[in-house]
Amino acid sequence: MATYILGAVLVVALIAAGRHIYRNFADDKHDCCGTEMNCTKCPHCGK
Amino acid sequence: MSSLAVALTGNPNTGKSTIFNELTGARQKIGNWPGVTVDKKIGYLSHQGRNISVVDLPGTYSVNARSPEEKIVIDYLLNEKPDLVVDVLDSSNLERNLYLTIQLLEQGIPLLLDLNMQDEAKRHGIRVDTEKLGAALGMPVVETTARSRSSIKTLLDVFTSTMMEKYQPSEKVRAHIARVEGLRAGNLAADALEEKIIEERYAFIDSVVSECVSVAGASSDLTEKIDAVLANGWTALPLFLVMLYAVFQITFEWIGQPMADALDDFIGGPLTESVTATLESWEVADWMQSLIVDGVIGGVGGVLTFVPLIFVLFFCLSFLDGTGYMARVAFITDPIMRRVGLTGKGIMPLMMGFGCAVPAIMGARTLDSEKDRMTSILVTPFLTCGAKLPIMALFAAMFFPDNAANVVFAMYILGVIMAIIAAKLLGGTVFQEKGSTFLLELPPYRIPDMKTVLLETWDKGKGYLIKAGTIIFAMSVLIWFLGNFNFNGMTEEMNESFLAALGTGMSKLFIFHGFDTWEAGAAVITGILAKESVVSTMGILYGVGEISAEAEDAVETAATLMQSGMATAFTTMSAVAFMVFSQLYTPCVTALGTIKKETGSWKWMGFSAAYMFAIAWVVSLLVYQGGRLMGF
Amino acid sequence: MTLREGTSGQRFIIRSVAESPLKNRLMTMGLVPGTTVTVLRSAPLGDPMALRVRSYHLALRRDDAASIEVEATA
Repeated sequence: MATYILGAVLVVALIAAGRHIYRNFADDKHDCCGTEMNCTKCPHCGK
Repeated sequence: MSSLAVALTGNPNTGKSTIFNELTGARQKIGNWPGVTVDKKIGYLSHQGRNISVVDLPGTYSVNARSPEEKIVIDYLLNEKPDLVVDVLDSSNLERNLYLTIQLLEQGIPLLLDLNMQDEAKRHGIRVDTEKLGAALGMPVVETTARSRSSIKTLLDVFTSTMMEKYQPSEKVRAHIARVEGLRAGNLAADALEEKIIEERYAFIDSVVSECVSVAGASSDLTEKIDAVLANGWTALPLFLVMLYAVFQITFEWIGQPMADALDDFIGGPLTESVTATLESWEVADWMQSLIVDGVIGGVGGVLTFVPLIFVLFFCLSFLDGTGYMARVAFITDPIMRRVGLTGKGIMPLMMGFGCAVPAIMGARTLDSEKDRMTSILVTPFLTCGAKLPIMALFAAMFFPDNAANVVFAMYILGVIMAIIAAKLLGGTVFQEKGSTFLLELPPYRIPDMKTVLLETWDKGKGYLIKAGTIIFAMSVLIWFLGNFNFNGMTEEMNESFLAALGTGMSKLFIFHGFDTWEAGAAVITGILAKESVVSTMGILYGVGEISAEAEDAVETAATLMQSGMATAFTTMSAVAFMVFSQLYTPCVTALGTIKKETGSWKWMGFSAAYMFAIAWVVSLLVYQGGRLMGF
Repeated sequence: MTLREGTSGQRFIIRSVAESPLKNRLMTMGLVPGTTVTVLRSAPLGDPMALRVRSYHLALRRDDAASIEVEATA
């Protein structure tokens, strides 16, 4: 019984993870520096 | 309750972002300006019963709409018409700062002038007569010291009490605008007109500044003194290396590593044990136990262990960035960067590559010439990003326990050297366009605002956590599945699994590299999807996580590690070869996707994937065989 | 002479800025005729150079500085 419950939990988690990855892909976002483009700014050159 | 829309504008390095962070704290949303990858930061707060939204516009020196940032600023101010536009000025550097101000006034945008950096100006003996300045421009003026709570409070009070409608440009400003209009009405050629207008603006600024600013007994300039050491001639470069080395010691030896070790002990020890015991007591099927303990904890946990390292490293880099030192790094490395076909300015997007190649590749947009940009995009992935960091840290700790920080440092330097060599080669062959330039403000040294540094560290580091919970989690389950199943269903022998079959194919490439095991081959494959997966794969296949669970102390850990599958699968030399290969080979799919987008071509993406694989293969082979010849 | 030949510690007044791709940006940053510039120091190998202009510091390559016509001053 516990196996099935855990299995269901894992499947839900996997779907959530998959959705996140797909959303990132669709919205053109990247996680590596937060979910936004925060690291693209160049604070020095003023360009 | 009425709401109020405030926009912050100003030059770079005026403390604008610090004011924004002090005003809004963590209550900010970061998005994108439509169509461009420039941050759009909005923060929310309420004060005296009003809801205030604050937009932090990109820092610009002017609004000629030449760069995306300048276009954003002017479009936003003209089209969105915020209730209050705050022009943040560096009081110790009013002349250049007022250029943007007068340009905005010419556009008929009423401004609240914020004379920031009051403390710094006072130290330099600079006194600005606020009343005269307000009168000269016809606009309200406030004084702030970005980090002082009370001045932020003052600023908020001004936000809610100022009626911008009351203010009209002064006679002086109107006369200036009339002169500029007169110039435009004349029949000057576009270039000459532009030049005349700029001169007209500075003439106006000079007259305002001579009225309102007095300099009394210029005290000695601390920035000058520091630069005489840190940015002067030949001493500058060794000192830069010392600085980098210190960052590595802090991250991989003094602060980050002990935290990572503690976390590793916890995940491998109490966590794994209690989860196993709980699963046992619930009578969960063996395969599910294996999936959770070996797959999820081994894979995700193996990566999470390195979170403290990532945060400490990002903290150090954000801190350095906040001091103003990074502009000096660009300045002192320009001679080298230029000789390899890049520009010193490229060092900044390149340094971002230590965090992640994706923003670094996009950051290359700030470079002036197409050649600089393309070269930078193609060489950035050689650097050790946050996802490769765990690979280096894991192998270094296992095979060089006494020298881990130095070995990791050497790997980082290898990445930098390869990037430089590749830039040189690409510059000499693929891209030959000339004409890169270098024009960069060297801001005064400042003690970074902790709030800003911490927010930045969190912004960059949290992505790593999100990745661990999503893609790395999914990958770990997949790797576990591939490692435990074959066409006949579940298998007891991992050697007969799908993953073994895949890995064996890949491992044929590494017969002369000393790591031709299917496990290493599988790690190389999964690493292309996300570099953290190399560590997850090792964790799942060799059960690295479980080992420390059995050990009582460090000596025992090392002893158990030596008996583990991983330590026997690699010799010291083949471990080095594997580190070198992981450091240099094909970027992860996300980075490849970004390369495709930024270069606009599949060809460059494919080129990047192939040439990096080839270089990694060759260099790793040379290292392994060379090391063996030398008797290691 | 042009700013290109400037050495550390020298002070100049800008006479004119010649046509170049950087011209507009140089002038926007405050390098207009009549402005005083001081050469502060050079990076390793003598290039780029750091300048003080209008109470801030600016780094510039010597090749780019060649477009700025200057006159020495005390």
